[in-house]
Amino acid sequence: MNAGNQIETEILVIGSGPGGAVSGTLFAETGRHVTMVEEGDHLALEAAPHFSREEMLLKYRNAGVGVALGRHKLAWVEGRCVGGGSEVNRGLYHRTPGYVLDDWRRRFAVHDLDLVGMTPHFAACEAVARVEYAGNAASDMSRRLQQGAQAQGWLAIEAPRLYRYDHDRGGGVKQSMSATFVRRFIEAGGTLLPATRIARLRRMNGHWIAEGTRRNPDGTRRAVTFRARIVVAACGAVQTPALLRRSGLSHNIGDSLRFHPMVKVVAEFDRDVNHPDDFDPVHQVKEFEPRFGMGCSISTPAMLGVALSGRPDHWNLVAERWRRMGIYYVQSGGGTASVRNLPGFEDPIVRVRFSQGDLSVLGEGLRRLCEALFAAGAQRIYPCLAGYPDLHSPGDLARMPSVLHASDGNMTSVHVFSSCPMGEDDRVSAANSFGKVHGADGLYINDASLLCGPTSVNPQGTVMAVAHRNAAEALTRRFH
Amino acid sequence: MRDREMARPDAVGRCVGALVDVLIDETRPALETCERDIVKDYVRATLAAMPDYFRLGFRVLALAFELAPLPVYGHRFTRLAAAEQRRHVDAWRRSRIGPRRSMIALYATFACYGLYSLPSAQGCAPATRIAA
Repeated sequence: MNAGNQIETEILVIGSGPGGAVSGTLFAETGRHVTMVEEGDHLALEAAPHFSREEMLLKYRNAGVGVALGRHKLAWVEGRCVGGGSEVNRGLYHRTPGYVLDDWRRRFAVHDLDLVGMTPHFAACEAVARVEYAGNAASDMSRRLQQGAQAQGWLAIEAPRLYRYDHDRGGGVKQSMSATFVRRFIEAGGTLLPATRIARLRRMNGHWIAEGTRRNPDGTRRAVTFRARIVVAACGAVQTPALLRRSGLSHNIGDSLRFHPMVKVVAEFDRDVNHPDDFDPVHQVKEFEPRFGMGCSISTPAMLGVALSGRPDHWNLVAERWRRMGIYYVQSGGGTASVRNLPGFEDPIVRVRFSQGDLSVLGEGLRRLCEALFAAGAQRIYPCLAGYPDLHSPGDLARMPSVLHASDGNMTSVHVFSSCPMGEDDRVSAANSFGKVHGADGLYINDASLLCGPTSVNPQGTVMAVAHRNAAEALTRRFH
Repeated sequence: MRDREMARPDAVGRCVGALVDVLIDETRPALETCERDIVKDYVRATLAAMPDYFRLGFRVLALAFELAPLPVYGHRFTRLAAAEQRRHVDAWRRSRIGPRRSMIALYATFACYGLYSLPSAQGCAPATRIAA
């Protein structure tokens, strides 16, 4: 029942990324009256070229400017459009390692969380959003990392992607949320409202009132209010705690944000490894997980230009050699951050701190990454870290500091989670084992915020499966 | 609204445009005006979209950057000759004051991304000399 800008719904899902899209679809497919709101726009996958300037402005939150403040700053990015991060990432996919789930179950007292119990939820998500391997179609640049790791005797794998490869004609179709779950949500009768931002929640007469604004086509906003029996906050690991804290909920909310902090190098090989029509890189080194992992990044000329922008000759360097270059990264699970709202401002502030141990792990990871790349035939390695020397041979690795020296912008992340962990131990958790916020009837969290810590692997598969598990449980319990 | 800001930048937008021009000159001095405008519009759009507390901080910094040359050169940044603009940018880039360095680093990163994203850069234009 809608009256002007007051909208009545049974279930309000706030956010349409992997957590919100999976939750909303499950609820809608069981005949519930579900409204899913999304702050960004509903855009086609091809609305902007992938990893382009236009995509940054259209589909990323704050045009890709996210900085966690602290002595060692960290730059991160998030999606802000229907489908959330799944629209802008590569879709690298892993089921959560069993040891990660075991650790969360022990430390946070999470009920019914293990690999066996999660398997049907992974399978259910993979049946909607298809997961495939590139196989022989993987790029040379990506394979180089695997070859280098294997030469060192390390475990390296090809990660599957949420992607349907067309092996005959090249190309394929990304299995983002807008292309999979959100479509099913709409087919099942769910109502999707893009360009809608929820500012705060309040409880009134056994219902949740969600107050926010809708953006008109000319950019102006108009007020909108939702009244719902159930609210599922799935706005992502930074926006969910920000919303809950604005709504007066703060118990273990926004105190334990985690990242997979990453540092990068550019490796230059003796022949071309980087071609314009290559598939996104997929190989990863698993030998040192969970302490740190390695992979290959998108390495377009634009990305290489930014990676090398600290060098006065970067334009000529990239122009001349980009086809021989690839960007590679090492990432850990170090650092802890908080999310807070600032009076008078809309965007939350994130503060991060790294211990010497965190920086030491990244320092070691960086050295190991360079070892693998030299073993793969790299002729020269350019660390994307101010003050670090170019490396011409494995002998130069001794000149690298053992503890990471990172200045502004050198540390980045595309994985953000754990700001409102789940579990029965309410000394450390914000919600119960299935995402119901402690002490708040009818209010659930179901996104990356709930994860109890770093996943070591790309987290989207975990976010989707945990959301599926929690939504199924909520339906079974009839939201009690 | 945002389109109108792009078409008629305010004082901060003009200062940012002039700064981006200096940064482009460091790598692509021969870049056509229309392509420069694309890069400037991208950097201004990024400034307009960044988190509000950063936006406020960077607008204040940009105004300080614009007015800082007055005691030295007698003119604000946007009215300086090209060589003086380069010296001013270089002074802030090497400043001992962190926010000054951060400001130049941020605009340099986004100007660089905008520059490399130009259609003419996608195949990467031939190098004018052998890179070191």
